Amino acid sequence: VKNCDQFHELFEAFALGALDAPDREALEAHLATGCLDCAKSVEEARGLASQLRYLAPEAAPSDMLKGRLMQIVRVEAQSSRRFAKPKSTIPLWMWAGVAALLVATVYSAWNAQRLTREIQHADQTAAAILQHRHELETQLEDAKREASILVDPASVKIALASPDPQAPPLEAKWNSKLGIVLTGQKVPAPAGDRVLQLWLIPKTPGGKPIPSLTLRPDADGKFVLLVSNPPELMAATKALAITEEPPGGSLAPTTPPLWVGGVS
Amino acid sequence: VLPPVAAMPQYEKVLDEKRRAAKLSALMAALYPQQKRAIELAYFEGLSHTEIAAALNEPLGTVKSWIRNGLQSLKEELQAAS
Repeated sequence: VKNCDQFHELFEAFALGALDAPDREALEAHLATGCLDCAKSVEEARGLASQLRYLAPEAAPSDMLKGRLMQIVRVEAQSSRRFAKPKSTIPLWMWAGVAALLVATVYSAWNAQRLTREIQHADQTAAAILQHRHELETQLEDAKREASILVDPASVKIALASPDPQAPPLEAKWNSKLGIVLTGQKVPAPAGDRVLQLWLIPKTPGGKPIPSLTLRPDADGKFVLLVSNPPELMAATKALAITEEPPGGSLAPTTPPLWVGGVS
Repeated sequence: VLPPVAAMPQYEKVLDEKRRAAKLSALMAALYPQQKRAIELAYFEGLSHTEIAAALNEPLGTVKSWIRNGLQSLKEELQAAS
């Protein structure tokens, strides 16, 4: 068994590249003998040291700074040898060290703040993306349900006609399990922010129209309205009707019906 | 305009690196100031033990301990965090 104890102190500094030449050469010579324990420890220390790169990705002037600092150290060392300056004065190179540390400290604080802001920004963007994705998923679910209602042979077709001969006919399909899909083409948009609203007319004599969803046709006059949970059963509904209402819809119709279709 | 949903994995990676950097900054800030200073001089300025001792006007053995103990606490904190 080799005596590795003398090297245990050196792994971290070796990984940082901070060993002086004699220590570094001794450790390298030892590693070259194939000591697996020490090689493993050095690997671990290197893994740790490599994490430090996250600290200052843009800290550029390290070589330059080192060069300048060491130049000052050398000049100061030579002049102190030559002139034997009194030890009590604070050497010039120390001020360079202090200045360098001050710069590093200010930079670290600034960098930490910047990172915090970037993380907040990134978190917000990620939340927005997830929200967007959720909306897309909801749209996809709706589209699937609409398609199912339209193709299911169990769906009941309801044609809605208008007293106005200019208005195009609309079509609804009602599936007792999936809901109602109402479609229209070339439907003129109501004036301003006003909307079209769907009503369910109950079979009960004297029953009041039950409000459902509102819609606005797109620029081409097209629309697809999905009512996933109709407010009343098909069997209890006599007809579907559509009126024009103020934005947001109404609890009871405020205008005469534009389209009506009987539920057979 | 939102980036496409398919761009998420790349994005997660960047986010992860930023989080790691913030975590490491916090751990470094929690070290003794002398340990932090010695590690920074070694890693960012490329100074050796002797050079750091000269730059800080401290005994060589002290500087060696700062670097070793500082990195070991950093390692323990990182392990505890993960």
